[in-house]
Amino acid sequence: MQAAWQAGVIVQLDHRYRLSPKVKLRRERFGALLYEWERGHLYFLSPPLVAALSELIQGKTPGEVLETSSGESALNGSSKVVKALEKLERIGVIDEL
Amino acid sequence: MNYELLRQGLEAPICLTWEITYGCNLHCTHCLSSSGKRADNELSLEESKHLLDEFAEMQVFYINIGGGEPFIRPDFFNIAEYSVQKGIGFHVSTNGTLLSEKSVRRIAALPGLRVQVSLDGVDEATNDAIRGRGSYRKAMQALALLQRHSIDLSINCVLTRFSFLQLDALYELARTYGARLRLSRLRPSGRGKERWDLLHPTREQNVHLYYWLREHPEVVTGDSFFFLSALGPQLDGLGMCGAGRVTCCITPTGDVYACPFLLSPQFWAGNVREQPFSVIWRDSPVFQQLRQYEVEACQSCLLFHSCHGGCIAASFYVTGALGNPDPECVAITSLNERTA
Repeated sequence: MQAAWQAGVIVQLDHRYRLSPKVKLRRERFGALLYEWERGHLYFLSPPLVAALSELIQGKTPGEVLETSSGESALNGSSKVVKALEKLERIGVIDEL
Repeated sequence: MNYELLRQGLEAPICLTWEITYGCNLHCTHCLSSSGKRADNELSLEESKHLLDEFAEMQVFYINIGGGEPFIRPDFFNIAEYSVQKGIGFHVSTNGTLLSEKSVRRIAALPGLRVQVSLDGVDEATNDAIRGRGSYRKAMQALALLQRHSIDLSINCVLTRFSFLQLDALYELARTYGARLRLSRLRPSGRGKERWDLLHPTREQNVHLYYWLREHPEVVTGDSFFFLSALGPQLDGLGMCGAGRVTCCITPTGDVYACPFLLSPQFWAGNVREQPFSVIWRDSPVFQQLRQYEVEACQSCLLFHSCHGGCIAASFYVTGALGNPDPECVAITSLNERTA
């Protein structure tokens, strides 16, 4: 929970999420493109975020996704991932199940 | 950063324009594809379905269906239904003249299908001068019908120096029909080449348009006017020419070009009857070149980051060559204004 608290986020670390049906995700050389078709918005995702999002879509909770982070830079990396997931929820890319 | 990511091309188009027929019951003076009669060798329904399979495989996000008049094809709904079934967004551009109660009911049953009705003026005189006699009245009937069935709707206006004077009225008209207003830039392509000098907006109008678009962010442009971003903060969109990089065009006979406004042999990338679309998208020499291309004449401009040289089609057809700035570039005067 600490990482989420530090990032000041809404995303619930023990909840499960899915990709919104309004969104399409496509892998690209630089990570992935997300297209939200209702408003026609396009988002660019970096590889770490794509990895986190993929795990989330496969059924892991954000907490479980963060547990896979390890090593010296884990906290910073985790914080970034949580912030990014929080943004994805805010803009409607992921929905809580 | 996005410019560098996108300039080198994507794994698949974000969207593409697929002109499914050359057949059209109107004869608009600025038609980019010079449409009129159907071609004998237009892609069949089976070929169209095969193409949609490829789009789905490549994860193309959506397709813009144009022509010609798409509803002139007897198998239009077969194509639309298959696209929706495949999860590909299907945005159809129509003159509205062939829509009926029955066809609009079928549209309403297709989630993900969006309709764009072309209207090139807010009144009969302005619109019909471009789109032909009676086209305004029929387009208005179509709008009413589509609204009644709560179709996801937009009104598209190719902005000319005459319709420019009606911007606010067009905006209000779209609101009346519960539609988005979409403004497109006139390009000197197809029959538009002959009308370019007469119709393209003046520089003063383009400057005004930039500020008008800033005040109306809900107006969509399909990134038509990114070249105006040299005047200040970037307008909504990718801010670059996407030809062969993030989009392309497929003609009714399966030819693939870099963009619907670049239908010249120099920009022909292949034909889907001869090669899979995915191979054309990835390997065609034309697309490879465009992914390396930058407008040389603009490289030293302090505002290059704003427009990256503008529209390749406008530049190519007006100046006769690649490598020249967009003919409607507003950057030079803008720079002078900023440093004055």
